[in-house]
Amino acid sequence: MTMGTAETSWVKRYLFSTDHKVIGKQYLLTGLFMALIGGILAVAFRTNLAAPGVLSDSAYLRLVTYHGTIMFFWVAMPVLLGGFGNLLIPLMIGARDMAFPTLNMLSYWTFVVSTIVLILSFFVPGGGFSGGWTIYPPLSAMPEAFLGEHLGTILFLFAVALEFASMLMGGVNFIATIITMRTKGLSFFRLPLMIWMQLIASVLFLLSVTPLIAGAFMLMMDIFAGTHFFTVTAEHTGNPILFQHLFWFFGHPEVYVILFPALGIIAEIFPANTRRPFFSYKTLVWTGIIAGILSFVVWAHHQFVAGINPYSAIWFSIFTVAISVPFSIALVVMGLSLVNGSIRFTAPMVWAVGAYAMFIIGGLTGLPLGAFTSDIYFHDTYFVVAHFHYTVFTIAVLSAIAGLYYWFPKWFGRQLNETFGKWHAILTLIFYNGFAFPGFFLGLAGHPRRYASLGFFEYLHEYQWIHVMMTVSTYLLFATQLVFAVYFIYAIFKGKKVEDPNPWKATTLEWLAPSPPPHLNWGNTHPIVEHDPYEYAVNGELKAKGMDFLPQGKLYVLKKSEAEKQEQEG
Amino acid sequence: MRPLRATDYPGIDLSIDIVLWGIVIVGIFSFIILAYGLWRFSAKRNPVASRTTPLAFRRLVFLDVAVLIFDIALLAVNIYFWSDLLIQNDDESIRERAASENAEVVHVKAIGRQFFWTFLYPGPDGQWDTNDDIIRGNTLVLPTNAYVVVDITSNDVVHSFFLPHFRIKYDAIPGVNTRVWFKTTQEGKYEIACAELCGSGHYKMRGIIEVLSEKHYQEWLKQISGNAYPQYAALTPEAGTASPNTAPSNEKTE
Repeated sequence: MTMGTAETSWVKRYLFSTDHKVIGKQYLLTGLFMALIGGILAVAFRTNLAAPGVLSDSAYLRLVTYHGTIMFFWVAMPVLLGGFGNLLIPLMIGARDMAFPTLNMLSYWTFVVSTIVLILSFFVPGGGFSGGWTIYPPLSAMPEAFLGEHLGTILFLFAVALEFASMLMGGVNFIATIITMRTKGLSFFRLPLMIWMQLIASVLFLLSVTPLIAGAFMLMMDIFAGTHFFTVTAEHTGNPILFQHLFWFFGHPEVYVILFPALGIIAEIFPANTRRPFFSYKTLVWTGIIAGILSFVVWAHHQFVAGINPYSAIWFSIFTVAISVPFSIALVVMGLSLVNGSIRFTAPMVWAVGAYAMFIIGGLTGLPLGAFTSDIYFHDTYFVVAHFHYTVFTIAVLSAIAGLYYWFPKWFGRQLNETFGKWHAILTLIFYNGFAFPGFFLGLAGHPRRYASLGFFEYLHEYQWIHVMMTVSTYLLFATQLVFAVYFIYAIFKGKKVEDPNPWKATTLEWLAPSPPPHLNWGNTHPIVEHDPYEYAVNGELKAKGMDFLPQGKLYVLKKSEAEKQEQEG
Repeated sequence: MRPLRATDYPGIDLSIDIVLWGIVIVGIFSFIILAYGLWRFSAKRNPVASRTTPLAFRRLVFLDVAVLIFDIALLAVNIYFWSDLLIQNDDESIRERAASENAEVVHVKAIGRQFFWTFLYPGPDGQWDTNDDIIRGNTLVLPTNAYVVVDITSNDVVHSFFLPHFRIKYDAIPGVNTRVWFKTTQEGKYEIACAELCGSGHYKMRGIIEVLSEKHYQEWLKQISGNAYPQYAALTPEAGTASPNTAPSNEKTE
């Protein structure tokens, strides 16, 4: 391919492109489309909670199942890893593309197939899978437990497997690219935090997903081939708890797979808008690595009351509570980076601060669940639901939209309206707390999750109004995001063009490239890194010139022979 | 917001209180500091940023030390009660615990099934799997001032035996026997919820705990133990065939 992409066909440029920016856009837009579906599902089943009987019992559970699965695997992962990862990794490390561009394209199209299979699984005769996103057998392994959803279950599992395959291809690519393709001068401890977080997330995903693939395979065997790994009959004694171990060995690191890129987004937006360097860059990197390692030894905290050995539960509880230490350090360090800053409340900053504040709630409310005696009461109640919405919603929506506002010029060469962005943030935060926070009270009242209605239990009767309130907030939240979706599409085509390639006056390399960057990113120049990533509030010469930041690198014009070489490689 | 506690065993409530107060205090403190920081260092009030961090703020690192100390205290309390509830739950320990409080021990089995509970009592002879075992559908009748040991299992999918008023929850897993105990203190009717997704009738899977005075309990026991009962194993229907509407009534199972 030549550098001038005009000669290549439309299909090759926009559909089956190997350009990391196009693939990033494809992931982003597919992810946002799925977010819309996930949101519609949420609106539908929340309606049933406010006015029981709108949906049938199995339809309610089906929507809940698909909502969780879609938001995790088809929104958070493609947007934060597939979207932001693909766009930013090569740009931030000064590369021209990913290490394996074709694999990258294959990753996206596998993801598309997985999306189609998932949507298909919803509409097959008998309906889609409705056993919860955790797929616990024997419920998921016994077709008779849910009438007639056999085909739906198989397609659902197949879609999840394809999605993992796609994300694995992406993850391998990310790791290889970050390790091997950093430009001259960009040592590991000069990497922007976003890149560190993408690297940690990719490694976590790579290491954790294998047991689940084994578990999913065994589950499929239970369904197809009459094995009894997880099902129990008079003659065969499989063990349902085994699947829970295989699932959560993946499931907990998976939460951090999406959490780290979200923290990375906040970590990029903070210094650019406080105009000062991080309080301690290295602390953030190390807390990320330590929390990543610890995330492999906490999985059974999802199973404290699920029949695991009570002695092993002690260790899992200790590790789980211990993980609060690196995360609290990370949050304190991020907070200290605001001190003595000159905080500009731009739209991305308002979003990032909102996400940061919500992470505080999400992190703290993990403690009652990680400490096992209180978890006996809170396990599988709305307290859990509220807790993981304070983490996962913050990750997949607040942080992701913060990133969208921040990197929109880089994606599309246009800018989103600042006032719109701030109002969007404030309304989202209000409605989000309106639907998520009451969950803590429901959990405290002992309301189990995944109940289509609380009507059968006398001790819960008085709390129906809380459900109504949560549902109204959900409607308003969804309406807010719909308005944004319309504006977002409008802005892609008609938004105000950015004149300055570096609208936020940020230091990292991606802002040296034009917005949007051309194919192969750097044209006939090449970035070389000379500084740490967040050199704001600098003194001396630059200050005299009226500049308060030091870009991480400089662009050097390539010699003609080098430029030709680059062109051929591309 | 918690439902009225029906037991005088304080362990779980105490653990909940400690952790909730802890996170509320840390949370409010963090939010106040965050709000102050955002106000104090906004571009309007602080037009020029500086690379330094004043000592007063650097001391916030001690917030992490506070979190660490809180974590350790939390774990100590939790491990203490956890060991009470789930490690020292063998017959001998519970008998000792009951003897020290002059309470009796009631041993029952709970079997979860889509979408109701079946309860078994060992009957007058105190032995399992004999002809005088008592089988009850969906209602667990208990005396006051008793340590109740429940061996839980399931007949089809995973359920969870959740007693909000006693703060107890444990999964019912097919092929696995799990055990919880709780102490009854007050007479009354309490509810048993299922806390693990078990199918479309999950939210209807409601059981009852009826705590009677000692006298009424003995009367009930006498009345219920009059007849011989078949082995419960012969009674358990095929997995997955039950529907919520066929849950047995509280009368004796034939």
